[in-house]
Amino acid sequence: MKTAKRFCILILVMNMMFLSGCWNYHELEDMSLVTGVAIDKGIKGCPYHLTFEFIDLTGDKIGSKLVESDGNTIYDCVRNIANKAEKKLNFSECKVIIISQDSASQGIAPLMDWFIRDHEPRINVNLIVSKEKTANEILQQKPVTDELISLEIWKTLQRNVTSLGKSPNVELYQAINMLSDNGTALVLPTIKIDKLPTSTTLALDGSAVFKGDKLIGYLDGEETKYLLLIKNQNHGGLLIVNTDTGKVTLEIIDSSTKLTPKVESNQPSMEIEIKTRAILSEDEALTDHDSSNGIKEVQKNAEDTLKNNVTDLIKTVQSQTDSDIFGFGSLYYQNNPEFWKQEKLKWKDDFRKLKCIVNVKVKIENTEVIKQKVKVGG
Amino acid sequence: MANNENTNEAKEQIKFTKKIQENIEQIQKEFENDETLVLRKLKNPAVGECCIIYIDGMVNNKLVNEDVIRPLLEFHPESKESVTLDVIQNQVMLSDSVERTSEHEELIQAIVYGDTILLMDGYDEALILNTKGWTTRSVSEPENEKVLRGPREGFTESIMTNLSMVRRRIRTSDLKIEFETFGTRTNTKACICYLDSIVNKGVLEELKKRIHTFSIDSTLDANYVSEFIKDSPYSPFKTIGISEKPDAVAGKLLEGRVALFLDGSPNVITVPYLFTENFQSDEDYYLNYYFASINRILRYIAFLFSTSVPAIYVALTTFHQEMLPLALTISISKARQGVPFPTAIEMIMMLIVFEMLRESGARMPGSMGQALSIVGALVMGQAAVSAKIVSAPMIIIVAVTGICGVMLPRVKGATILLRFLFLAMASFFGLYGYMFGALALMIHLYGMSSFGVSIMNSTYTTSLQDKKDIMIRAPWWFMKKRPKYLSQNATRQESTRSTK
Repeated sequence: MKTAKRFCILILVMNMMFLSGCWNYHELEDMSLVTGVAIDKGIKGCPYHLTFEFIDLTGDKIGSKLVESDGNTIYDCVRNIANKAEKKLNFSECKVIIISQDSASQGIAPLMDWFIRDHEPRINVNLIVSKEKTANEILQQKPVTDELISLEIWKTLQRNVTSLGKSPNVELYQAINMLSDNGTALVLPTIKIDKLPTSTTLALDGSAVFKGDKLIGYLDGEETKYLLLIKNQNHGGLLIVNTDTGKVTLEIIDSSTKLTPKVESNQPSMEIEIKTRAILSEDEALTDHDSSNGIKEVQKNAEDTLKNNVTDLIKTVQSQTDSDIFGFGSLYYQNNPEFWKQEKLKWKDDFRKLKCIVNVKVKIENTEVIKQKVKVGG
Repeated sequence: MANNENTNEAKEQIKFTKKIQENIEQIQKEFENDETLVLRKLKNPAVGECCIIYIDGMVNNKLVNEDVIRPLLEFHPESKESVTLDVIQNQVMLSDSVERTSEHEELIQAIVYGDTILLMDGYDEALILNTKGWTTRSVSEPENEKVLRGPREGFTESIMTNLSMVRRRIRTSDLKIEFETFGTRTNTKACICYLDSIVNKGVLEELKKRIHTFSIDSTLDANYVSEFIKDSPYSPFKTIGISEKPDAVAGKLLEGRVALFLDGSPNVITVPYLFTENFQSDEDYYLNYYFASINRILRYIAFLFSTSVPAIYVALTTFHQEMLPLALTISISKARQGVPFPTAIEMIMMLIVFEMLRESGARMPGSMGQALSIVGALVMGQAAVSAKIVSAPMIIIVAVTGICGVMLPRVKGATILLRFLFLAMASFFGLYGYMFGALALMIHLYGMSSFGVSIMNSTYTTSLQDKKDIMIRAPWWFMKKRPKYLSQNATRQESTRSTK
C-alpha cells in the first residue's frame, strides 16, 4: 500500500515535469540571433518578402548579416530560411520590425499576427515604417555607432523619446492595443535614408498615420512633437520660441497634458491643458534676464507658440483625415460611455468637427549655468 | 555476539583467591602472548609478598617508581602488627587515586587503561593505582578550523585533556559530565557534557536514549557514534555538529546544546545541529559584528551560488536565451563558437575536473600545492579555452562555483551533490527543472529535525530574538536570550548595555 502510494506520487511529480513542455534544449551557437526584420511586398509572385538581419559571429568581430526570403505568409518566409542557412533563426532578441510603405498601406494587422502568436518574438519589439520604397533598403544601410543597423535603429528610437521627442516609440503590444481600442488611431514612427552631400545615414522622420490598420499619411517631426505633447507622451525635447528680437530655445524638463472631454447640448468639445516646465537653454534674442519680466515675456511667447502649433496640428489633421490619432474618442469611451454609445458610429464626423480649447502653461525653471548673454564688447 | 556474551560470563566467574600466586597466574593467563605486561614482585618484610602489574608504555614509569614501588619498599611500620591492605591503601600509597576492587573485569580494564594494580598476598582484592601516562599529541591549532582572531587551541585525542579545556572555559559546577563506554572491543571512554540549568532536557534524554540503541565493537572516531545516532542518516546535510575547538564547544554548551566527547577523537559532537549553524563561524563572535554579519551574509550567498550557478547558467543559455541581456547572449554565443560539447556536458566535465583539483589539493603534500595551482589555473583555464575545448564563460562559472563552495566547509558534501542534482534537472527541464530541484531541497530541509528540534527552526519562527544570530550576528548586548528551542532557560543577560 505504502509502495503504491509512493509510486503514485512519483508518477504525479514526473508528469508535472514531463508534461510541462519544457523540452526545448537548444544550444546558443546553433541559432542565428535575429535583431531586425524588414517586411516588404513580395517579388516573384509571393505576397511577402522578408529581410532578416542577424548577428554574425563567425569573424573576430561581431558583425551583421542579412538573409532574405519569400513566402506566402510571414511564418512561411521565416521557415524558408532553412533552405538557405544552416542555423535556425531565433527571434527572442529581435528589436525592430520595419514595414514598407506598400505593406503598411495594405494593412498591418495580418503582418503582426505571427509576431504576437509565436513564443519567440517579444511583444515589446519596436514597429517602424520605412519611408523609402522598400524596408529592405533600410537594413542595407551601414550603421554609424553600433555594429548592427537594427540595433542602431532600436537604440535611436529609445533615445529619441527623451532627447528630441520627434518620434513616437511604439512597441508591438502598444500598436495592437491602439489598433483594437475604441476611438484611437494607430501612429507609428517612420524612418528614411538621409542623403547628404557627404554622408548617407538613416534618420527617423516623424510618424506615419493609420486609418484602421492602413497607412494613410505622414506627420513630420515637428508635428509629431506636438502630437506626442497632446497625447501626454512627451518626455523631453526642445521648444523653439520666436520672439521679437530673435529665437529662444527651451528644453522641456517635463510636460503633462490633461484632456477633458466635454459634452454640451450633445456637442462634444475637448479641453486640452498643457503644463510644461522648461529650461532656457539657448538665447539668441535680447531677453532681459535681470528682471522677472524678461523671463515672463519668454514664457508668454512660448505659451503662444505652443498653443498655436497644437491648434494648427489639430486643425490640419481634422481637415485632412477622420483618423483620430490623438485618441480623443477613447476619452469619451472611457469617461462618458453613454455619449460614446450614441456617437460611436458618427465619431468620424464628430472628430472632424470637434472643438478643441487649448490652454498652455509654460514655466521656465532656470537659465542653465549663466545668467547673462554673451557680451560683444566694443 | 553470542560468543562475546559467553566469554563475558566466563570472565565473571573468575574469582580472586587469597593466594597471590594463583591471582598472578590468572592475570598472566588472561594476558597470554602479550609481552608488554610487566609483573614486578616486591617483598617488604613488614608487608609481605606483593606484586604490581602494569602494561609497559601505558604508564608513567616515574610515577610507578616514585609513588608505588618506593613507598612500598620503604615502608617500615613501628608497630609490628600485620599490615593490612587498608593500611597500604590509605597510608602508604602516594598515588592520587587508589581504588580497591575484587572484580576481575574491572582489574583487567584498569590494566589496559594504564593503571597499575597491586596484589598482596593474603587478599582476594587488589588496589588500582592511577599511573596513567602515555604520550599524546600536544594541544595545537586545528588545521581545518583556523581562525584569524580568537582562541586557537584545539582538542587532542585525549578525552581528559579535552574535558579540561572545556571545563577551563565554563568554571561552574553546573557543567555536568557523564561517562559512557562505547565499543564492545575497544571499550572507548566517552562522555556526555551539558549545562544542567540551561540544557534542553528533551534533547538530553533523546541523546541518552540513542547512544544505548546500538552496539558496535569499535568506535575509533566520533563519526562512528554520530552515524549511529544522527537523524535523517541518508541526507547529505548534517544533523550533528562536529567541532575541534573547545571555545566553539563551550559556546554551544552555553546555548543549551549537549556535547559528546569520545576518547581518541579530537572531534566533539554537539547536538542538536541546525541548518543555520553551517553558516556560522566561530570567528563571527570574535570579530566586529558588522564585519561578521557581512561574512555571514556572504556565506549564504555562496551557498546559493555554489549550488545554483551552474544549473542557472545551463538553463539560461540552452532554454531561456531570451532572459539574458543581448550583449551577454552575444558574448556567450561567440565564446561557444567551435566548442565541440553541448553546454550541459561541458559544465559537468568542468565541474568534475574542478572537484578533482580540489580533492588532489587537499590530499597532497603542501610543497606541491603551487605546482597544482599552476597546472589547474593555466593548463585548465588558459589552454583549454584557447584550444576551444571549453568556452571562457564556462571557466568563470566553474571558478565562481568552486570558490563559493570552498567558503562553506561544513556543507561541502551537500553542496557538491546539490550542484550536480540541480545541474541535471536544469539540463533536462531548464529553469522549471531547477525550480523543482530547489523545491525538493526546501521540502527536504524543512522536514528534517535534529534530536527533536527542526533544523530550520529559526527560519520560520516569528520571534525576533531567534533571528539575531541567523543572517547577521547582532552585537552581544542585543542577544539577550538564547534560542528558545535549544534551552529551558532562555535568558542570557538581564541588564543591557547602555548604548548612549
